Formats: sequence, C-alpha cells, structure tokens
Amino acid sequence: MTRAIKIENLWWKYEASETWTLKGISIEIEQGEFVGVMGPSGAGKTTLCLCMAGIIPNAVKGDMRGNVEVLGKDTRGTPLSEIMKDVGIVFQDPDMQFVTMRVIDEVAFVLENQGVPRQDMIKRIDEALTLVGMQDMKFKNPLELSGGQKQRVAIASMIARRPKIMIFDEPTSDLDPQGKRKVFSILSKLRDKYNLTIVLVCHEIEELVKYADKIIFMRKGEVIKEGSLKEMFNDSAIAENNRIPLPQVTELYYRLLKSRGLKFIENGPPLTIEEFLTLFNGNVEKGRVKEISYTRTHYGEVVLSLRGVSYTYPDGTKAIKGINLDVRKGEFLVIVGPNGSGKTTLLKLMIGMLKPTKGVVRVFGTDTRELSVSDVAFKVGFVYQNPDHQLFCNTVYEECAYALRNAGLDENEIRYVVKEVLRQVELQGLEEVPPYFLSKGQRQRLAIAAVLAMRPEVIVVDEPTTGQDYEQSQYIMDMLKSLNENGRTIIMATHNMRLVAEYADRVIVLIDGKIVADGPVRKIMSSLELLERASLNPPQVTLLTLKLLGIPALTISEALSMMVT
Amino acid sequence: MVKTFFLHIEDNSPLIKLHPVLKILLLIVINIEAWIIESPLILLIVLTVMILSFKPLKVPLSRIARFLLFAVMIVQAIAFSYLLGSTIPGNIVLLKLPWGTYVSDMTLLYAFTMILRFLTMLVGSTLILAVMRDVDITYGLISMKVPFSIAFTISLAFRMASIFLEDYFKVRDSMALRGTNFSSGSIFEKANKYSRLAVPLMVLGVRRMMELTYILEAKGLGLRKKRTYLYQFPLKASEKLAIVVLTSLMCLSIVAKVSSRLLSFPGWPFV
Amino acid sequence: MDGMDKVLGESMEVNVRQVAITGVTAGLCLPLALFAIILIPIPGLPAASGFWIPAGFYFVMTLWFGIWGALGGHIATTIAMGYFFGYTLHVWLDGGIGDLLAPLVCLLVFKLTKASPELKTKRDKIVWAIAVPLSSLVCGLWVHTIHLLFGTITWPFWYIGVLTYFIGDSLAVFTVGTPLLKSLTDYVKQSPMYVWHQR
Repeated sequence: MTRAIKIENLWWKYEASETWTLKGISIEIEQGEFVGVMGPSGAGKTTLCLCMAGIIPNAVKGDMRGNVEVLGKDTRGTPLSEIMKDVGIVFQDPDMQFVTMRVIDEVAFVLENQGVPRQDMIKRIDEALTLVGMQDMKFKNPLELSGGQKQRVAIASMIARRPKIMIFDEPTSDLDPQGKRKVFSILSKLRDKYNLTIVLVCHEIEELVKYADKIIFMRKGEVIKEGSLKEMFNDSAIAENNRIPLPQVTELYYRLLKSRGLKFIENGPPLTIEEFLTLFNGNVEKGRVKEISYTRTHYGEVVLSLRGVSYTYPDGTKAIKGINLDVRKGEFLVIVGPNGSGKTTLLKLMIGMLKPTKGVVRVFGTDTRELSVSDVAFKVGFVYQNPDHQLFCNTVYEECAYALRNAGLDENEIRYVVKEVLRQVELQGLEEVPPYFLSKGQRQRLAIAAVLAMRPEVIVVDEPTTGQDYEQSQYIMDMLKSLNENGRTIIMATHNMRLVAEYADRVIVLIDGKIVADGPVRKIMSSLELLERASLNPPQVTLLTLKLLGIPALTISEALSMMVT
Repeated sequence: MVKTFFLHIEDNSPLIKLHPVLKILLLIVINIEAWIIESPLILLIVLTVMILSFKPLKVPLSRIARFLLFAVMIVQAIAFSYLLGSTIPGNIVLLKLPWGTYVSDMTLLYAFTMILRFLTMLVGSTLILAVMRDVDITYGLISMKVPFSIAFTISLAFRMASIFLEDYFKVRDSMALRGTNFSSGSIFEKANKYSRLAVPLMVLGVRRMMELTYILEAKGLGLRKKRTYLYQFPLKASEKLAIVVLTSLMCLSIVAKVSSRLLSFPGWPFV
Repeated sequence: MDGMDKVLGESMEVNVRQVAITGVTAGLCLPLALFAIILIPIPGLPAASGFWIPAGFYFVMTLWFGIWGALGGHIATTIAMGYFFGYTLHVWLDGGIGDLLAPLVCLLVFKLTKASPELKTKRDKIVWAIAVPLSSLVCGLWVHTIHLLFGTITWPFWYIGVLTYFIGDSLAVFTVGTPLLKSLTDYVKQSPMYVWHQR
C-alpha cells in the first residue's frame, strides 16, 4: 500500500533566510497512522506541516532539497489543487482561521473552492458538522463560539473535503482541558471511522500517548527521535539526553526504578495511569505512605482586595459575578477555569484596566476607580498572553527602558536596571536587536523583562505558557517562582494543571464568573468532582497517587517519596 | 428576523428577497440618478418617496439616524461653501462679499439642490444597504463578473478589522500599563504617544498576513478557476425585467441630461 | 494597466497572497480610518480629516507589497467614510479612489527612480520627501475635483481643500510612515511578499 507520507532527506530554507529551517528530515507515515509531532519552539514543526500539506514549496518560496511524497505524489511536481484533495490542515489560532461570518459558510468555503457540486456540498456540510457535534450552530458567527467549538468548526471545514490525511498544527494549545479532550476524541473517531492518517503537532504528551501510534520528536530542524510509543520512551537516558518530555507516570516509573533498584519491566514503561496501576499492583508493595504537607504561611498584608465585584461588558455579557477576594503579599495565586469563565476579565479588574460595574477593587488600599491604569502600573505589572501585544519599541534595550523613562529615572539607573532584568531573563547581549527579530520564546521573556524593569510588587500574568513547549513553560514558571521567593506576589491564569500543581500556593477555581473554590493547591487538586465541573484535569501524577495511595502528590518527587518499597 | 450587514430586520421585507444583482444595481442607479438630476423639484420628490418607502419596505427609519450628525456636518459644509464662495447669478443679490463672491436667490436654491443630491444618495444607499447581507455583496459582485477573490476581500476586510481593533486596544493598554498616560500632554505629545502604536500594529499585520496566506492556501482559495457556490440566486423573469428597466432608466436619464434641460437646474446654463 | 504592470514589476494575477495583503491592509487601516474621521474632522470640508492616520500605513504597505497594499487602503477608506457619510458613489469616487491613487503615485516614483523603501541612503530619503507630497497633491486634486463635480464645494473651496489635503495627508504619511519604513523594512524584507524581490 502506498505510504501516506514519505519524506526523504528534506532540507528547507525560506527565501531571504540564511539558515536551514529543516535539515535532512526523513519520515515515513503509513495510511491510517496517528502520528504525534513534538519539539520545542523553533524546531520546525509548522514548516514540516506545511511541507506535508504541499503548501511548501508550491505556495512558499525557498530552497528545497530532498523529496516529499503525499500518497505517492511528489509535492514538487504536483499542483497544489491535486494535493489539497487529499490533505486537510488545521492551524493553531482558531480566530484567524475563520474567513466568513457563519459556521455553515465556513464549512462551505472549502468545498466551494474545490468545485464540489451544490447538492453534494449540502450533504457534506451536514455530515461534517454532525460528526463534530456542531450541527445546531450552523448559523452562528464562528467568532461567538468557545475555543473548543471554534476548533471543531475548523476540523469540520477540513473533514467536509473528505481528505485522506489531516494535519493539525497545535490545534489545542488555546483550549481548556475539556476542549482539548473533545478535540482529541474527535480525531480518534475520525481515524477509526475513516482510516484517516492524522499528523498532530502538540505539547500535551499525556493526551497524545492515549491516541498516537507513533511520535516524532524534533529539535532545531532535525528529527531527534521517532518511533512507536514504547520505542520513544523505552530508554530514559535517551529521553533525558534529548530532553524529550515524558508522561508523568513514565517519568515516575523511571525514577522509581533508579531510586529503588527495581528490575526493568520488559514490556516497556507505563504511559498511562491504567498501565502504571496494572504494572505496579502486582510488583510493588504499597508501603507506608509518608504524607507531605507543605503550606507557606508567611504572607504579608493584603495587596489586592475585591469586594462584591461584578463586571458586565457593554454588550450585556456578565463576565464576573459578585467576587470577594483578598490577595496577600508573597502569595503565588493561580486562577483556573474553563474558557470563557472570566479569568482574563478578573485579571484586568485587578490591575485597574477595567473598572467594576459593581463592588470595589482596591490595589494597595486605593480604589481602582480613583486610579488610572498608568498609576497602577508601577505597583502591579501585567504580562499579556501574546507578547506581540506588548512590545512596541525599536530595540530590546528600549523595550525595558520604556517604563523607566516614563517614571523619570536617570539614564545611569535605567542602564543598571535594564542590564539586571535582561540577565534575569537570559537576553543579555541582545540589547540592540529589534524585538520582532526575536523568537517567540525570547519575545515572551522580553515582555516579562519589560514588566520586571518596573519592579512591581505584584506581577499578574495571563496564560504565559499557552503555545509554549514544556521546556519554555518551565523556564518561565521557574522565573516567576524565583521572583515569588524574593517577595513578589504572583497572580496567574492558566489551563496547565501540571504547572499549577508544581508552582502555585493557592488556587482559585472560576466557573461562569464566580469563584467556586479557593484554597491551597493540594486541596483543590484533590477535589476531582470540582475540577471535572470546571472542565479541568488534575496532573497525571496527582490522579495516580489519589488512586493508588488515596492522597494527592503534586509533583513526581513528592509521589516518589510517598511510595515506600 | 434576518441579520444584514448593519442590523436585524424583519424577513418579510420585500427588499430582502431581491436578487443581489438587483440590490447592487439599485444602489448604483440611485447614486447615478442623484448625480445626473439637478432639478430641485425632481430631487425633492425622489427623496420624499424614498423616505416614505422605509415603512412599507419594513426598514427601520432609525437607520438614517445613525448618519444624522455627519449628515448635518456635510449639509453645513455645502451651505458654507456656496454662501462664501459662489457667483451664481440670480434675480436678487442678497449679499455681496468683499472678495468678489455673492449670495443670490439662485445661490440658495442651488445650495439646497446640492444638499438634496447628497441626501438622496445617502438615504437611497442606506435603504438598500440596510437589506444587504454579506452574501448579497459577494454574490452580487460575482454575478457581475467581479473575480471572487476581489469580492471575498471585502468581507475579509471586515473580519480582519475586528481582529486589528482588538490588537489596537491591547497594545494601547499595554503601553498604559508601562506608565504611558494618553490623556495628558500637548497635542504633539499625545500624537507622539499614539504614533508608537504604529510599529507593533504593523508587525502584527505582517505576521497575520503570512498566517492568512497559509490558511487561505489550506482552504483552497484560488486553486480552481471554476468555483461552485452554496447559495443560488436564480434570476426570476420579473427581476430580469427590473434590471432592463433600471438600466434603461439610467441611460435615458443620461440622454435627457445631455440633450435637454429636463433634469437640469432651472436657469442652467448660467449666463 | 499593462504598462503599470510592467513598471510596478509585479504580477496582476489575483492569488492567495494578494488577497491576504489586501485583506490585512484593509482590516488594519479600517479602524484607523474610523478614528481619524472622528478625532480630527475639518469643519467646512466634507468628510475630511486633518490627519489621515491610515495613509501612513497603506503608503507603507504599497511600497512593500505593491498595488495590493493600495487596494487595501482603498477598501478601508471607502468602508470607513461610508460608515459616517453613507455608502454613496460620491464617497467611493472621492475618498476611495483618491486613496487608491495616492500610494500608487508614491510607488511609481520609487520604482522609476529605483529608490528603496529602507530609507537608508540620502537619495532614498530625498525620493521619499518628494514622493509623499506629490502623491498627496495628486490625491487632493482628485478628491476636490470630484467634490466640485458633485457640487458639494465651489471653486474657492477647491483651492482650500487641495491645500489642506496636501498638508494633512503629507503630515500623516511622514509622521506615521517614516518610522515604519525605517524600523520594519529590514524585517519585512524576509517576507516573500515584499515587492522588491520581484525586480
């Protein structure tokens, strides 16, 4: 049978670029396979997707060497219209993907371009929307849907074409855990029902291992390792040397083996909780459990206070409903909740960017209605999700110096502060580089540096790890933790429960604009029913230890210390 | 209720059901006729009929209210221009100005006529556009043999505008969060602050351009010369007749304007 | 159009790239045009803004990406002006077409003189300093002649209008456009859509 995708020694360089983006990639994907592609930012994953879809080299200029065959057709010699008959591609940003004003028109658009006859088109639109569960939303504006619904519409618009191969470039990075689960489940259904070949770029290794047949790990334009799930994770040394992220249960397994001197199990490491439980139920004694309880109690005075706060947008949407909340100096507070729960609105109320329609928000004792945004700025720093929304100077240096100049500091002091913050975020040496020339990860760090330069006592961060690979996410979180340990208060919104467990002191769960839970991270992570209601999952290791030992571990190290053999 | 470009209107409005080509042609004809006709009486009649048509055509008259402020500005501008800068001869000279221009009775009538012309175009266009959906514009233009890519670009512009508006507010807010006070300072200082928004907006624009290219390629835009369409708008016999009538009316008006003084301003040409 | 095609040095075939350029330029300029009309109107002159901010953007987009940038500016102006003054033939012919002509004149000047929008050499800066007022003048002449033909202004106001337009547009393009060209041309050059690649 013809392979779905065959890539031989592919090299690719964009026009006007001096470096190769892809270097000697060779991959074979069989029809019906579900392949995961992982790697840090800048690894070349999106470029690889564009090559597989034939967009490179047909619609993008550059230098291509090697071969790419899609269902036996060489992408260089085959018109894009031919390739597109068999290949669908869905990108990361759901908002950018919509080019029409109605769901039905969005799905029809692709079919119209393909010249599908009208009667057939109507049938395919219905089929596709039913498959993704969006048939009742036909006439809605795609922009009014939730993140998960948007991606389902994007999937429907590709499915309607009845491709044989579907490529997804980080389709779940902006979604809450429930949205992610739904998307993965649809992909699996598609593969099973239509024997579709699926190539999925994502960072969620724990979800990926439930569905993927094979994983490809890339770094700096090269394939570092590829293979079946067992092959990928069979050797912990290789995984560690290449910094391949492992599912938490797998990492726990390897650390148990190492620390306890246990025998290596030939079937390979467990990749899911169920496999871990099966493996260890008979082989390891559930020993005496050392419960770890750690809560920091040395918090200072109240820095942010919300009393009876509600906020209604001008279009009538009630985003926040009657919130009471105190944040103390030195806390690391994380706000979690499904998409559309009001997390970003709450953060904006906290920094005075929005004024409450009811109730009072006080920052260091002052009502935010008496303060302008720039008044609050030097006390409470805010980092946006997209760094491109907060970089507006010509050089890295100017970016960090901007706020300090607004504050009237002299040049010597500015120079000192800028040097210090750039060192903290590891961007020293790039002072004269324009921000837009930096990579995404660097821009995110620069955005944080620009805020750090203001030396705010409170730092508010909106989903800093969305779209970031695990390494980059950890780097950012380590930086925030270090700032917290040095006395800054950190308030963060995120979907990433693993990072919440590893870094937060206190967690607030927001559903539909209301706080439904507020407490120490361990307590929140143990409340499975609550998390389910909030469309959230606890980290894998927490769920595992709850099932195995009846108490939640927040990190792998904790879990390790709980398992006495 | 049906959602059109600007509002929701009742779906039993007769204009909603018109063929997109007819809607676009009506838009063109109203504007050209208003341009050709210089007779104040005819313009007044046309304008009155259009305003009175709003109710039977089930289009809310409040649609025009939106333009009220700026319409007043234009009317004022036209009046200003004629009162201070014209030399239209008339029966009575009402005011002579030091720089050589004057205001006569005909000046006032002519200014009034130009105001009627502007209002006729405004009211007529609003009436038609109030019942146009995005598919009408796209399909109407395509039916008139405008390439789909061009027709599609107009609706794409609206999509992108809402994205960039959001970007604008986020960048402006992030500048405020770094200590910029947009409400203080002289006009030049404010202009300098706002001008900083240009670079990040442009960077976002260029990035989105590349992204959009990939997305449109992935959706197969322009891959085939022959494209099919979900919506169908077969022309009824009555609509074909209406197109012929409207086109003939336009041609006849041009002929009448050129060969007679039927549609001209009274007393034109001024001696 | 054929001659223009050769001078501008680009393909006139509409493809995805051109759609993206036009759509994004129009989308970017549209909110800016709406602000400019509200913030700085000129009393006495119909639909005029004293500082036409979007001009800075679509001039630059045209220099980088060719005629498609100008088309985007045209669409944005027509939609924005129509939002306040109605979608009439008058609005389309004066502001819409005027704002299509202006950046094209600027592009033509750059192409004919073989200057670069990077504005790094003295020659490039001189060309920019001449092209912008020339384009604004052409646009001003067009717009106010249309006003005259529609009877919304008289001859004395034609002169005033042309002068105001010339100053207002040039100011906006110099203020907004110059930093954009100087800061971002190097970055945009990496894009395959940059029109100078096609020389």
